[in-house]
Amino acid sequence: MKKTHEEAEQLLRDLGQRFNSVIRLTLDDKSEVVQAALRQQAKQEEEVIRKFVTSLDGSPKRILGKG
Amino acid sequence: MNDDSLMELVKAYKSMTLDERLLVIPKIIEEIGPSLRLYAFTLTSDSSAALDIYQETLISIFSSLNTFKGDTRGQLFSWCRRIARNRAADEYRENNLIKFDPLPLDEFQEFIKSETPSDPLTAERNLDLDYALNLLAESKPECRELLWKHYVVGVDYAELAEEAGLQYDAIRMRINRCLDSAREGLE
Repeated sequence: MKKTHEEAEQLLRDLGQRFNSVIRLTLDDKSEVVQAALRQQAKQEEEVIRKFVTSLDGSPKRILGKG
Repeated sequence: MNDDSLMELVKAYKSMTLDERLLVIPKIIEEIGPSLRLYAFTLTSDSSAALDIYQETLISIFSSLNTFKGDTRGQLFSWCRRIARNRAADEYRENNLIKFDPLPLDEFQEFIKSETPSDPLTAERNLDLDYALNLLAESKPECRELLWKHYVVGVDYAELAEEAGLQYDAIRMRINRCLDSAREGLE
């Protein structure tokens, strides 16, 4: 089981590649969780902006140029 | 996806609408996710906490990807790992998270040898994986962490040197010595 320095380096790298192969096939990649979090953040940001704009004159449409 | 495609997607992300961003998120995660998940194993020996760190890191990454200023895949991964370290630091403070020591090799071994029809394990490959796992098991904890980060996760010398507050050559030589010492232990 004797390996050279270079062979040992390669086998450790292969370990990482194997992990990548397995994880792609077996685990949830969390895309949906991330998408839901970003939607929630966007909603909260929109709410903050809406409150701020409304507090200026009570009419978000006018400030946003949609009125 | 090649390196250029990933970086083009990351650059385009900055000017995308929310709906467009939501569509490209799975594509970017497909590229950065596995390596990041593996890195999370470096940050704690608690696999459930590692999953939480991974998830929170992804959320942080996509919440601030529009501020990323790098141009290369290496810079992107380095940036992502820094976010993961910050998330882990929060966990250490708030929940007394268990740090990486020792590597949960049994758990990792079981996971890595799971059945994968598209990438079956031959007897020879099985032996090679055992050799690599034994190298890590044979290493002293500080060496194990360096070998894991550099070879298995793919963190380069420059990033490891910065993380450890050491010169580039010092960390390179230390990793070489760690690997040779583990190899000798197996002979």
